[in-house]
Amino acid sequence: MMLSGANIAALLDQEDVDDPLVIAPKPDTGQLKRSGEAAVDLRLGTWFLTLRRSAHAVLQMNRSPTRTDESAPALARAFSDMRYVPFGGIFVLHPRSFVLAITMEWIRMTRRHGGYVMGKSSWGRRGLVIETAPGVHPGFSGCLTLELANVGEIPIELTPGARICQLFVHVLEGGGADSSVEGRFTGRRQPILGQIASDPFLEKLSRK
Amino acid sequence: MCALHRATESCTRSERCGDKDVAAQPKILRATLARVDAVLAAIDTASGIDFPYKDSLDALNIVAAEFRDIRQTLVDSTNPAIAPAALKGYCARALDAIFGNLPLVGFLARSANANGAPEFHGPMRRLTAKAIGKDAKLVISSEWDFSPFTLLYPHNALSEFVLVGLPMSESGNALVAPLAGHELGHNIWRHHKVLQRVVPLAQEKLRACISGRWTDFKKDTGFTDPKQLDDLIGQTLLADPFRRAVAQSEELFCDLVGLRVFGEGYLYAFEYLLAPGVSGDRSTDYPRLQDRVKVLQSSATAWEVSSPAAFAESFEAQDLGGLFLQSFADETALALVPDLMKFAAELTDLLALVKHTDQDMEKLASRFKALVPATGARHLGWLINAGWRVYFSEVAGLSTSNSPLSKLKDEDRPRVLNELLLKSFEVFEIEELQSK
Repeated sequence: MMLSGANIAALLDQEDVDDPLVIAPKPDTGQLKRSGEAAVDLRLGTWFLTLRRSAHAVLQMNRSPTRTDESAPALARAFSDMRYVPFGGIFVLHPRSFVLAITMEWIRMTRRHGGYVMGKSSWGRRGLVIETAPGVHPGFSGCLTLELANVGEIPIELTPGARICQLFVHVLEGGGADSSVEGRFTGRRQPILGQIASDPFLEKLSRK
Repeated sequence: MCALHRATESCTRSERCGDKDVAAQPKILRATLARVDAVLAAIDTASGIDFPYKDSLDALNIVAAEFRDIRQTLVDSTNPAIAPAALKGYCARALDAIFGNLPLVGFLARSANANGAPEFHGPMRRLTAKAIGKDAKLVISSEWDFSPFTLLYPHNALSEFVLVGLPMSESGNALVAPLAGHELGHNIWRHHKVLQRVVPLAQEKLRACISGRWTDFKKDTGFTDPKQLDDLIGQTLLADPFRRAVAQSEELFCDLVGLRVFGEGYLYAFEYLLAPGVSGDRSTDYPRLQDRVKVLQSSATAWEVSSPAAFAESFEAQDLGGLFLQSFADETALALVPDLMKFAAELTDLLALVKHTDQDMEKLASRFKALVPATGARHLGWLINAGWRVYFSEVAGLSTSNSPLSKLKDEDRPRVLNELLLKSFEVFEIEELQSK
């Protein structure tokens, strides 16, 4: 069941409960209630991760990164650059370019709520595709990594702090998630590539 | 024809007349111009970096302008009518500028390092503006040197810049951010002319220390009458301990500023970075580590700031080091502590660097424990102090709590707490900007 803006606002206003829904900085819940929308707008954060050519590795679907698990973060750093753009600054996303960005807001989902991040149509119509892996799991806590691609013909100025996407919140049916919030993407303020988990099924298919 | 080429020509003529000074002119000038051009090229390259804050670029532009002036002076000095000695003087000035400014250019370039904590910049810049003026600019950078530092007025035109360096390996650690308070103290010391207030007191205290141990002093120096301290030999003898006493006083003052501004977080950061101390000779311009710790602890008690458990026991005592006279420098600096406390308290209150409120620290800490950044903080220091509380209760030891943070893997907890703190700095800045 998708929550209305008013329901999301009500959850955000209940901060002292055991398992709160939190968005920090907190959006204007009064305005959210009045909006009549069924999602809360999220803004663009200050960190961007770009991919660059590197002598180190290739991205592989099969056991990627190709080295041991211990060296995976170093390998990820080898073909990526992290940039910080302060409020008031801009990041120019050129046509046919891709960047990982992050939401300005830190989201903490309850154990009973999940969500989906979707782009805003006003940006999509200008060629900015936002988010292709939009699920936000119950219990998640952190800033949301956004995959941004400019599929249009003109460069787009990305401004930290600007409304960039929206979060739809759904109630989890069939029981709450485990209270454990451990996960690869938990507790992060910067976008990360993440590690493609090893896949025994794929490995077996690849053996000849 | 370029200016350097003209110089070469004039030199060729001079070589024929056998004037050695003039014969050396083109060689020195050519090398100097090449060195200055290389520095300008390095600055130009650094200017292409995507700096997180404009302050770094502003500082680079100021340094570049100085080198362009120097270059123009060199070009103008290629006139054969310029005396060789004057030309050498211009070249020496250029070399001085290179020695003085190249480390600064590197410092500015490293301020773009994304491994640092750029979220700290905004809140700290506001504190800096309160401390030394609304036009103050702040550059936080890092160095491959395990000691926080400040570059104090490396350049005349950078008097509005506060340049704080943190050890590279700790530059992204939000919990050590209070150490920037010590570096801010150096800038307050100069900007608010604390030195001028300390000097007469230091003279008086040094005299009192010597009087108090006159027998030892007499035996070591051969002086027979205290009046001898006023003659040239006495003044020469005391110059070094006096300078060291003042230098140590400045360091103690900066510790006290850090303590005033950041409270207990300063003590935790100090202990984290410096305990138990390093072996080898002490720096005689710094008080002995155990003395710094003692001053911090007693001041914390006086100012009702809680100290880390077994704070003093975390540090090893340092030897006296240096000569007999060093002990008078150490003693003088310690004798100045009540005055330094007064100056630090007066100035940090006057400049509104301390927030005397009863912010509910536990509320901030509970947010971190719940894996949520803090909101509604009223002072940067409170955020960091709440972070330290959580560090000790959930991260550093064997946590007995049942918080979401404590449930993370051991190796993830320090990282996540750091992320929460840095995000909280950003939220703090957003709330501040939105409140205007």
